[in-house]
Amino acid sequence: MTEKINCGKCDMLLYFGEEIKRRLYMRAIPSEKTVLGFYNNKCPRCGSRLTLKTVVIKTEGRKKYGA
Amino acid sequence: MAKFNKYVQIENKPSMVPVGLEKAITAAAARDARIIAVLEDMGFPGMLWFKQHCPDRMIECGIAEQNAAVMAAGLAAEGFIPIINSFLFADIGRAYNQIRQSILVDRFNVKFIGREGAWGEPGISHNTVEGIGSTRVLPNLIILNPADAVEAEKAAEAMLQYVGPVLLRQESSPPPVKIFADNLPFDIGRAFSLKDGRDATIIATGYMLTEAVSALDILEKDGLDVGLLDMCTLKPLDDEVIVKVAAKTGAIVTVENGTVIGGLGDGVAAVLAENLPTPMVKIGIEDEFSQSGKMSPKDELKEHFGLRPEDIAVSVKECIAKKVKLNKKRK
Repeated sequence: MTEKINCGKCDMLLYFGEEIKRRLYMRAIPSEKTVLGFYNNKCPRCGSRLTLKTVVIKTEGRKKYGA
Repeated sequence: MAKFNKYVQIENKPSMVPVGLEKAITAAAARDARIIAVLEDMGFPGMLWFKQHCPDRMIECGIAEQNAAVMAAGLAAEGFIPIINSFLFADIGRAYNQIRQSILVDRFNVKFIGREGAWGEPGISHNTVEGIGSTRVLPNLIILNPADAVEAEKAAEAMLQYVGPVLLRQESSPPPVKIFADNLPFDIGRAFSLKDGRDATIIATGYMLTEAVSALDILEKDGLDVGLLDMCTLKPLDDEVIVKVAAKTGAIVTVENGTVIGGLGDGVAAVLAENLPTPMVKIGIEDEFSQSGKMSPKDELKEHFGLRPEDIAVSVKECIAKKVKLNKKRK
């Protein structure tokens, strides 16, 4: 499963990689909030404030039984 | 000449990718003291220009790529933004395990510039063609492959803005022509449509966009209306646009200076197989190693591997024929 986080305003890609919550071990990135913190909670391109409400988070992968 | 969209400004003059990289990286390094070059015995075609601007921010590791990778991981862990520059077979190939374990698992903010492609005399060892295939399988890594100096500058800017590992493939190729206008909008993960078509769509990456532009002229003379899509981001691929152009033209030809196994062609094929099965032809190196070739009076490797505009035109026609055959079958 992969995850993408884009700025909700200018669509800049802020994160692409493993789905954050599925990492069981070696959790260098424990949450989406940590990712936004890498950018000081501000989109480097359009300058808009980054919060969990202002970004677009998408995960991709096949459906699983019981999910 | 084919009618292109407003951000395309084709000029028949060389537009070298390293020129764009130098412009973007020196500007970013002037603003951001965290950017540091990690070199692997690369006087040419490396980043010695960086020395003129930031002589105190270069670490030359010599031919010790594994050391360089782990050193870059350590620098990134301390908040630096290391840029490793070398031939792709060296900076990624020779240090594959260190990059996987020490950089990508923890998603450290390390940038790679890797040179490869089937062109010229460096041959089988240095001009590899397996780079895209061998790196697309690695999680957390973004892969870019710019087509000319303008796109290289935009891609390098975006690479440094993004927090996370990025590989920028700097193609070993003849000089590309200038394709893009200076105000080209660039987004990691978004394909760029140079021209819409009706009969087929060519999806090209890197230097091969130059050859694809010339192929359009041949196809136009033959009465075919063919679209052209620039796929600078090889991971993540722009699935949405791939499906959209496939739905519109029903025939897709991918063009890359790299092996078709695991490369752009396989990536596009996988997207279409799951979403909209569409006739395709994949142009690239077909399960062979690269080799040495003379560059003049004619480009031997381009001819050997079938990467000329004429070869692309033939494949587009082959793909359109597949589409017609399939449509007849469906009726």
